[in-house]
Amino acid sequence: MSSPGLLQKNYFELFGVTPSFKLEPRLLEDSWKRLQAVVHPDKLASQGLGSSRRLAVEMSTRVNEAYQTLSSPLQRALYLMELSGFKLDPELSSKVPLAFLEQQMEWREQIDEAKSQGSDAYVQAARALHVQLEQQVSQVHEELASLFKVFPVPESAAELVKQTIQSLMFLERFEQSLPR
Amino acid sequence: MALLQISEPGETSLPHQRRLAVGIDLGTTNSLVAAVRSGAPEVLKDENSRSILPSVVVYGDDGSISVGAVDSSAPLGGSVVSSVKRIMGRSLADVRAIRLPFELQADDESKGMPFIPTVQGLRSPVEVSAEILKALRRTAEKALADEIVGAVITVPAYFDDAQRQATKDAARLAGIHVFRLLNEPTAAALAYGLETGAEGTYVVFDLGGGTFDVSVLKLTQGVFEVVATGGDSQLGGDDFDRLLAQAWLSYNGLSADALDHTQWRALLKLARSSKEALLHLDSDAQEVSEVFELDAKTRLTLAVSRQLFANLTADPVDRALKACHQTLQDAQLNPADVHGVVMVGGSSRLLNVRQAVQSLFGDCLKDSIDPDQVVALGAASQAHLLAGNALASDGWLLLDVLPLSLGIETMGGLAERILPRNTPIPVARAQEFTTFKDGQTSMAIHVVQGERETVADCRSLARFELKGIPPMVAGAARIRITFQVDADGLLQVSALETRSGVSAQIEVRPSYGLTDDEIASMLEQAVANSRDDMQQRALREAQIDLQQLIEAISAALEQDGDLLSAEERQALISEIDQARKVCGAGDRDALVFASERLGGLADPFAERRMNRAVAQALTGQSIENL
Repeated sequence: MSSPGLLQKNYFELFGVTPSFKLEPRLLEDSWKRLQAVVHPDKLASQGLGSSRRLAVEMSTRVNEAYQTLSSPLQRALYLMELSGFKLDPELSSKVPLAFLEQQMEWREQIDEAKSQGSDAYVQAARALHVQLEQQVSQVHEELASLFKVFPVPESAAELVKQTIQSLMFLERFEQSLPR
Repeated sequence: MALLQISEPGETSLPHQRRLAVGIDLGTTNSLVAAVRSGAPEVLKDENSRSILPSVVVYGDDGSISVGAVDSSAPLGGSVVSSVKRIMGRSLADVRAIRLPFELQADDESKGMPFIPTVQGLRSPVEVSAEILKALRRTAEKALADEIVGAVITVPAYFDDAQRQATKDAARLAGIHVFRLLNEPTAAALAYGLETGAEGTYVVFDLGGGTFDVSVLKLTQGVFEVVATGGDSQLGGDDFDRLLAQAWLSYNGLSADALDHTQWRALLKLARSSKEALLHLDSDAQEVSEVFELDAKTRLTLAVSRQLFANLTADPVDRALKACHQTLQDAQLNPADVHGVVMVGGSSRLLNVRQAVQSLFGDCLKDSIDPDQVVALGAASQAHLLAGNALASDGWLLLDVLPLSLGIETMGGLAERILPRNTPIPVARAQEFTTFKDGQTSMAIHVVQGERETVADCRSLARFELKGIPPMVAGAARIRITFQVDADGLLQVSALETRSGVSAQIEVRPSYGLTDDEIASMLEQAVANSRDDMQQRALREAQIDLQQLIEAISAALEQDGDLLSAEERQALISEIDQARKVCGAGDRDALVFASERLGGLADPFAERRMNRAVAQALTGQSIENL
């Protein structure tokens, strides 16, 4: 057959989109549901596919994996790198721009200082930081979107992409450490 | 003039045997069975016209077993077991803290599994549950006048793997084929959504006797998507009764310790009935008052008003609201995003509970379906669908999530999360680990479930060992551990050393449940009495399975026959002819063999069909790259 088997398709192929960093979450969710509506094992009985339960479970699992990966910007970026032949270990830290580290130190100091001034000040400072962080995160998303316009990522660009992904990781982790 | 009906192509309704399937709400206090009849789900009644079966099993000293006693005081010479759901899939250590209406005992081998002593000997919680399920099956088969082919059984959303597995084991013991374990709030949302056609974001607030579940669901055209689920496994309507009983005692200068088992139970019963009586009062200050005879000398006058009740139960209500907040946060939603709150469980009727829910979500409580029945009704609809009784066009899809995070123990007693809670299921995820010591040839893998950082605070699900790792320096081995969770929320774990290919695999059995061998021997015993019955059932099941397979493949050939080459098509058609000849046979093995052969031959065809279905699902819409 001409098209690759369902289980061999990469996540982008499975969802019928070209590999790219920018994806519309609403449409992604819509595709996810459309796909599950035909592959979910519960659908077998009414679809007359009674013989292929194992296949349905595998497919449904794969569609869920794909959805989870594609709907998280960080996971999506890592996956795009993987498809380009660069596997990043999410635990390994590579070089992060010094300016970025300094910025983080500054934030930490701000929040520690607010903490010493009581819980109200702390919550307020945390809220203000969330806003700043969200701006930073969307800026990094923009950078990644433009970096991934050339796909697969060429060797020459790989290091820059890695660093940008690293920044995103740091930002996400820092944001999670703040109270909501 | 009567018009002839013509069915749509592809929806050929071949002479199709209707497959009876039921939904079962196996509750802590009460259980129900429901089925779809003439298009709508309804709760089935037993021969005494009761639709609710108290989850109480009485073992008589004459060897009799009866289920559903209303008054749970022990008859002469018998043992009464109730609330067994609270200890399903739990270890003796887990349940020590739970106040239960019966004593527990370890079994001989003292594996830590709790057993309930009865006049008929020790009984495991799984066996007791199986008796309840058997009674429900009898009710259903009588009401429907036919055998049931399968059931959807509901479990609390926060039930962990061990508790789910134990429930499935009980069904197996009761001779019930489980199509699916379904989370109770999901079942309730399904019943509500199917009846009202509601769309949008809904919260299911399920306050039962011993448990509190809250789920957030998105209802869109034919898809019921669970976004997040949470709750409190140590919170339920029983706590309300206990708090009221304790308050009464302390007003009278008594403590619970001064009461014996029977007195305490009588007091709890009074607390429950007073609580229910509060629903019928006209004002918050009005009182329900009862006289309680503690013993021959002591008569207590016990009173409660709504106001007092609300004050006494402020803490559990507050905890329920906190759980709602947490679950909304997990779903990344605000209370204002919620279109309605579906109220489930007897305790959701309580006025102070309803007021609290309204204070958080506003005036959008949905209780058009009886909160005691809504779970069973939803389960019945899902069972009907899974039995293949609905056409593809009027089917719907449930997308559920993993209720509790799954992980393994790493160095220092820490739990490493592999699958976070609220991940859509079915799902599989792999993570790599390595050895700690030079020359290490085996690795102990401890699977845990829960949200806490330390293993000690999580539930231990299973332990297994990966052996035969070739000796390497520390950190050189690459051990890939894969977690797979199916649509029932049940887990399978496998481990593979990727360099040597050494592997180990385990279907997670509850550490405190029954082994497969134990279940097999129990089944054997049960079957000894009714062997013919079981064989008849198995034979009929095999016949129906083969028949359905033939129908399904024939319909598929008609619809997508072009996906096969002429030779492939011919091969499949002649296999179908072969299978048809076996269909009426009374030989189960021949039927199963024919099903397997036909199924195997049709597998590649099924894959191509699925491929086509996937392509079609995405046409007409594509994700724009912005």
